[in-house]
Amino acid sequence: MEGIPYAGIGVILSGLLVGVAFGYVLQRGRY
Amino acid sequence: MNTAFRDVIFINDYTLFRAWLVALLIAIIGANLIEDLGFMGEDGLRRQVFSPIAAIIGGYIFGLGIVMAGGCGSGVLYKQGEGQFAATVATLGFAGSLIATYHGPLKPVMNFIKSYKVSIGSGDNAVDAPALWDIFGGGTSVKWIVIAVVAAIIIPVVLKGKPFGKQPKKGWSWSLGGTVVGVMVIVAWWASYYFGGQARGLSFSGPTIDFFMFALTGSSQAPFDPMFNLLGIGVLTWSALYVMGVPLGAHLSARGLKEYKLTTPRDASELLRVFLGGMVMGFGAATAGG
Repeated sequence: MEGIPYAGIGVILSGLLVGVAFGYVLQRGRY
Repeated sequence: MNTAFRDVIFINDYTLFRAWLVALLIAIIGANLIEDLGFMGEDGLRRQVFSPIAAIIGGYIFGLGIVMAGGCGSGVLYKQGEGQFAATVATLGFAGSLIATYHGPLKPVMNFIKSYKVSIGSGDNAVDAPALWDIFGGGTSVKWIVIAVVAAIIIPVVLKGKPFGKQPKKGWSWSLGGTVVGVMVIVAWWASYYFGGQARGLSFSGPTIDFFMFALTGSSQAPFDPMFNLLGIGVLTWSALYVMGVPLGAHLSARGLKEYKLTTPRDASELLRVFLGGMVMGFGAATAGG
């Protein structure tokens, strides 16, 4: 894992949050 | 998206199709706007290479798969959040065949189908990943003219559905849902570039591979996208993280609407069908390119 940066809080949170928001939207809109 | 097109064909209901058009239009305009404003860095939106044969064959196979599996890539992910066990089974089939196609024994088949590519121009000026406007010469102003034409076609169809009419009692109206999905696509384009190191947007197949490769082997083994060391546990891409979030978000929404219920089909054959459907989807998605 050399040369691979540690995932900062921004990476982790933004990734998860975009996913959560999208899952939420899909369920509300029933796609 | 599966539901949107199914409704048009089988019950002649254009509601979800209109929602899809709203999302599409907002996403096209917004994503190109943030690209032109310089928010997406030098590479911009990283458009895909255009392999028409692969897109048609892969798209057709994917279409067969989603009907069998009962949802597309995002569909089977979010339905798990509602407690539909069949969606979990479909996701496992989907992931398994995606990985077999991208990293495993089906890779030569995919590469063969993808080998026919179309680019515009030749030599150093060739556009390898052409967009619609590159046919008309490309450039920023041509791009926006083409987008305006697309908008002029889409908007009347959307308005015919009375987008500001009555709101449903539960969940969101199609126009609101479509708008929010469109905005989500723009946010995802930006966030995947800004935090993930490379623009990727709200695709699902590639990210599903990244997530399952990480979950099973400890590394997403993504060939192109930047990977991060997650707390020393393993290595993954930004997109693998958002795949984790989708069932969670859907679960929160379903809880909020009191719609969460763990369900399973009565027939075992039904589970087998969705599993096979997931596998068909995976191969189709990988071949079509996302």
